[in-house]
Amino acid sequence: MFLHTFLCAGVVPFVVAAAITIVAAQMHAGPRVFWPLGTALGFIAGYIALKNQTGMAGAIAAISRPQHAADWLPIILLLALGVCLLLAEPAHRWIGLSLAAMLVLAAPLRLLCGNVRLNGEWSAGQKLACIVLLASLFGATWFILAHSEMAHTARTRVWLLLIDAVGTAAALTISGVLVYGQACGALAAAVAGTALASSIAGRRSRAARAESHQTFGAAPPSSGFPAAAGIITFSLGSFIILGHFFADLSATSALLLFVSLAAAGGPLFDGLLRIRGWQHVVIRAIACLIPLAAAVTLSFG
Amino acid sequence: MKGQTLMSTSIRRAAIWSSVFALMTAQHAAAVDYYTVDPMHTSVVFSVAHSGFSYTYGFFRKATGTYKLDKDNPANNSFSFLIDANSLDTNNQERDKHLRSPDFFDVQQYPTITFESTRCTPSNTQDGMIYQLTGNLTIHGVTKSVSIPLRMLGSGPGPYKDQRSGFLCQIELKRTDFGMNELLKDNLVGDAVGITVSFEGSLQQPGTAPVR
Repeated sequence: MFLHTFLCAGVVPFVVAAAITIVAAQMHAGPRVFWPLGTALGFIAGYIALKNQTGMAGAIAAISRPQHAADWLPIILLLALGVCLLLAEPAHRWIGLSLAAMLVLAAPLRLLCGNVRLNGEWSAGQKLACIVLLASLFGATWFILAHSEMAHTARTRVWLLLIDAVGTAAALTISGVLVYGQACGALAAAVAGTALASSIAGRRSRAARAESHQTFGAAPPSSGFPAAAGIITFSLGSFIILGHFFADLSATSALLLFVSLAAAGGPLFDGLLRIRGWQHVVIRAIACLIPLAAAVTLSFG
Repeated sequence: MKGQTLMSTSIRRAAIWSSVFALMTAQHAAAVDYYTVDPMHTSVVFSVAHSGFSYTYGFFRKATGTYKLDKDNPANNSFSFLIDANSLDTNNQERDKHLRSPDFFDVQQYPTITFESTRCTPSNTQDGMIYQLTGNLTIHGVTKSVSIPLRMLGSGPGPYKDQRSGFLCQIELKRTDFGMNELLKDNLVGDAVGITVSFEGSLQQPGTAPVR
């Protein structure tokens, strides 16, 4: 069972994400392209592997004819991938922003439309307020994660994001739903695979440029991670919301997990405090890990 | 005069046939009894294997239903049940929380388990009257046609000065048939689920359908 989980939620998304990233880099795609591509497709591969309990046909059927709320995620992430790639192109930025706005509204609606509270228990006003609130949460998280391009913080943010994904997986598993925890693990593995492959691709690129006496002026490949903000928002963010509405994750824990995610990946301290070096790492780590630890602890309650 | 005689004869004939028809219908209606399931004397128990070492038993605390028994034509019997999936209880809060989650019953999306019979085949055996019910069982949002042998345990005056009838059925299902596919590896939680349902019903006013 544990070996199966490790393979499906760890090895498969890691390998798929890394392979896609390396292939995309070989085809001269930049970090703004291979980061969302590797992360999204690595996660989807891991999710399909996790669904493969009764055979690949059943796994494909689960994705193509979603029955559970979470089974809509691969489709949502493919849409988010398209939007992320559009946003990476300055010429298509406004189209990308319009589609992003539609997606942040449509995604929570799609994820929660089967929930008993939204189906019958709540009034129309309550349902509308809930969807608007969740759409705002998705939009704000996407904006925060995508905002900064400060290269010197990129590696710290990637590491903290990995820890945040694992912590979210723990909180969801403790709150009673193993499937969501495993899927968050798959996201962490996809991010790790993309990050490792992008640094390999970056080193080869630097070496090639050094050999040809060209100056390597581009930012390190890990700085392309903000381009995958949409993928991370709709995967981790969706599981946090699903954990609250379909399992026993409390509203407080869910909010703390969102705060931790924003602190892990956002530019909160880059512009405000203008701190660099190890102080920046410590402050960002504290801002991320304390709410994360609190959320995991509350999940035991 | 002749026209009036013909008219009164026709009216008389119509009245006679209407009376005969009403009498036949009333007699048939009197032969059909409607029952409401008594939740206090209804047990829905399930069992599932754990890693091949033991069986874990649980039950659903809330179940309601109605059924119809046709004395003249038992093939006309029908049964309808509704179980509150959120009411499951395996005597362990953490396990119950897990069973209610999207890993298993996903009660926030599929709050009820229902059964509606579509056909009833009676057979009188040495164990008593058994109704072989065919019907649509919906668990976890998936509807499957199932065949359930329902044994009548008794029928007659109950302890609450009402007319009662009681039944027992035992079946085995595969949870994967209903889309519950988690924790199958290494048989951590078995696929086969044994279900035992025993219920009593209280007769409503003879010949009237109960309000659901």
